[in-house]
Amino acid sequence: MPETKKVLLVDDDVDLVEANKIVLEANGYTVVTAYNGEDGLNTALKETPDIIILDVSMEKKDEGFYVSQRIRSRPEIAKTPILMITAIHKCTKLKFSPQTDGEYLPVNEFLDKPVDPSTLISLVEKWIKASQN
Amino acid sequence: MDKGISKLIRPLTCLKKRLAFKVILWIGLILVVFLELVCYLDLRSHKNLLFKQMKEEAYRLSDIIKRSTHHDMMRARSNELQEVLETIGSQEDVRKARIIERGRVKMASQKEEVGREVDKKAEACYDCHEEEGKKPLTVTRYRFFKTEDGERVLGFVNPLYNDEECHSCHGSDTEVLGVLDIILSMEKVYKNINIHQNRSFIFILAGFVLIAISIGILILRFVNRPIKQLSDGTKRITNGDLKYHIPINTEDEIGELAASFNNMTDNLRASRKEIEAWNEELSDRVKVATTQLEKTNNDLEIANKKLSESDKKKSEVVMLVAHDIRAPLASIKSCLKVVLDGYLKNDRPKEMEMIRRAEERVESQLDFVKNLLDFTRMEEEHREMRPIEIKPIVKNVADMMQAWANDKHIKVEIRNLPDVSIMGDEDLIERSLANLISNAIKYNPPDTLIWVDCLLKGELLEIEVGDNGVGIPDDEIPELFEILFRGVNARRQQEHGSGLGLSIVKRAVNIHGGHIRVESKLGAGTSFFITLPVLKSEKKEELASAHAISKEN
Repeated sequence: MPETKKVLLVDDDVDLVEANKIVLEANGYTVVTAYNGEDGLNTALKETPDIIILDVSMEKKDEGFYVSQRIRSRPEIAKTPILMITAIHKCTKLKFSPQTDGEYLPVNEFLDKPVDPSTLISLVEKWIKASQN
Repeated sequence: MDKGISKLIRPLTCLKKRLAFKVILWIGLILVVFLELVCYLDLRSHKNLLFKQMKEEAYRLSDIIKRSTHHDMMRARSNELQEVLETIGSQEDVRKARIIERGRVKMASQKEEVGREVDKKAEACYDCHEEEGKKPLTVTRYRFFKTEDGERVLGFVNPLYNDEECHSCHGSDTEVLGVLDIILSMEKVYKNINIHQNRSFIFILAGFVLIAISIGILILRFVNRPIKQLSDGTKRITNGDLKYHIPINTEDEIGELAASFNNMTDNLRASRKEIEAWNEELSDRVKVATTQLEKTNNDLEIANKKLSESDKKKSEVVMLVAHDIRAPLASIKSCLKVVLDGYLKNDRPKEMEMIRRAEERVESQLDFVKNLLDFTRMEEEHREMRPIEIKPIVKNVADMMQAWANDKHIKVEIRNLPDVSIMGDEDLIERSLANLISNAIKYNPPDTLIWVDCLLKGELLEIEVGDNGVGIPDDEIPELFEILFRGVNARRQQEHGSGLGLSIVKRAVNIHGGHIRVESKLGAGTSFFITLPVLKSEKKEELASAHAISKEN
């Protein structure tokens, strides 16, 4: 029996976290959750998940961007793939600092909410496999 | 060398151009011609007179000789006669005096001439003896000629007629016996004429010089000087000195010219002053217009900036609204999808929980949309403001909120509550107070104290909604009343707030002509202060009766 993969869900929307947790657990993943950026980073450091699913707009409108940068700056979790999901499309004119500063947003995938369960599973699978090769 | 000449010639050509020179030249020429003519005529008449005198003298002399020798002739004393002629011939002006008979000199003042043949064709004889056989001379004849020495002389031939007393010696066959020929020197006369001529010339020259100088002085005095003054004046005026007056006060034409010139200058100066004044006014006007234009432009720029800022803000708000609608919808969909895809078909209670979660989110979403619409309409709707009493509103809201607050053991306390009225919309006031109290209940821990304190401050009513709860971080205060803003604490509470509550309160207070402020300390609590203008009692009655009448109608 293969070792189960661990997914970290970071989102302030408890209902969405719950729904995604159900989908992921049903597909054999271990799920850990956090409801804001600070908790998300701490949980990532503690649990060292195989993949992080990160919301953008939490306590601050662009919190997810900074969380992603901080994850990349920590060596122990820097290589963990990040799926970024948001209700605001990436083309929005809202000022998300890393974008307006022209910085590369250090995430592997950028997705619009809601993500269909099958899409979610296939993307999680794909990025975990990619990170292990 | 050429330069030297041209240097000499230049003043001459300049001189030629001078007015005085022209006048002097022409008047001088005319004068010279005139004087010359006068002199010539005068000289001629003088000469004629002198000649006539000379002729008379010659005649007299000849007559004297004739008469004085008559006696000697009668006595045939030719020697005495010769002596007389010699005596006469020795006189200063008498060159010759001789008696010629039949072509031979009989007697002469100069002895050596006696006996000499006279050429009848010579000058003294020619007139009468021009032709052979011509009648001999019967009248006296004058002739002017030059001697061999070049002396100008007057010859006078006086015929000696064969009178009866002569017949004894000379017979009676000829009418004229001979001639007495006298030659007088004309040099004295000519000298006299010359002197006269020279004097005339000197007079003419002196006159010419005098007149030229006089004309020169006159022109200089009456023409040149004023003209130079005029020309200098025009130069100064041309160079812009319009205050200059040409100092000529004579009453002649030049004076008139100067006067009219000065007049013209005055007019010019006046015109220039006018133009300058006009220019100044124009430039002032331009300045004013420019300033106004700049101001308008500035205002326009500010307005434009504001407009584009408000446009930007609007589109930002639209984005926020889109997010706040989309995020819950995503949640609802995900919750339902889990159920629909059968992830929980073996866990019925969990299935129901997910559906309940979705339903709750739909509920709060309906609330959000309602609040959003209310908020948007607030600005557009025309509200009928009427006198409202504050006391029952506060009491009513506090009671309503207390029921909800009981769950968290929170007390809503009314402190001061004066009996005042304001002009306003009851629903909006109620809703504002409800929003502030419900926020305090929602975002504070259990056992918090909430109070409503109404204080009359002059013509203003200050309503404080305070709590001794968690407080608001300083960095969130400026954004607190912004549309869709939700503080960190609000988000952590997991209450599905709309982010519109405080925006609605602020808008409502502004509609009533009041304002809202907040004082907060983290961990100590928060107080919102709403200030509203109070309705004075006399005005209240007036309005109330008016309202009653309008209701009756």
